[in-house]
Amino acid sequence: MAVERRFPRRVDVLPDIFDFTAAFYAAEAVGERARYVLDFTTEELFTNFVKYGGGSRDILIRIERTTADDVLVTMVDQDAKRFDVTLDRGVDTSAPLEDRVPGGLGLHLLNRMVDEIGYRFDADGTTITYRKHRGA
Amino acid sequence: MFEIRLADNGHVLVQGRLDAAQAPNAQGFLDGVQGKVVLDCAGLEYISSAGLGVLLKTQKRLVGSGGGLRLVAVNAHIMDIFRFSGFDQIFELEAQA
Repeated sequence: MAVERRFPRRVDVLPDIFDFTAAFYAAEAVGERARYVLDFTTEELFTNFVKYGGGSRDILIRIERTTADDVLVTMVDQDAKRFDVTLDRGVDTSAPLEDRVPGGLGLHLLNRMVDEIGYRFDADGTTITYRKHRGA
Repeated sequence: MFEIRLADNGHVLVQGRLDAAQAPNAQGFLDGVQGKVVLDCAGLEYISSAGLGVLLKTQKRLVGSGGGLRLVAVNAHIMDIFRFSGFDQIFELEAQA
């Protein structure tokens, strides 16, 4: 099964995105852990596009189950600026409270939690793919 | 769906999904709390980095004035997020039974 939809680049559409992914998870019996990681990753990348993309076109989200029993998500933003989300931003998760800043934490976490993530920037825009085993 | 409110026992109840769309609501509420605050997370299903930012900002403010947040009844997935973030070193956490 594979489904895709385009979403306006606004943070207030997150509930619509989660409804979209939830319907897929239910149909494909995706486990709770995988659901959490995939939604976390989708939100982080989508909101990054909204905040830093600078364009006006909708963002495509495609979600599918692979033959390897993974859930594969593809997100495409034709207007995004170059920003490789797979690079280590050097977040110090052992820093004391007074030295903590929230920036970069989301990318650090999603890179740790997904099984695989890929980034491509070309004339068609930015394409990010990430996968997580479907789980129990 | 997200809700944050003060319970009869003085704890702050958070329920639903604390995502980027709901973070301003949560921040607005938590900006009004003082001292040592218990955040009851039994109904919290999901938190994103935007939600973590809300907790971090609140913790900095409260600790700076001698208080702090204690998060109780945290579910396993959210506990993982806290561990991976190192938040288990800067918050008092109690896992869901």
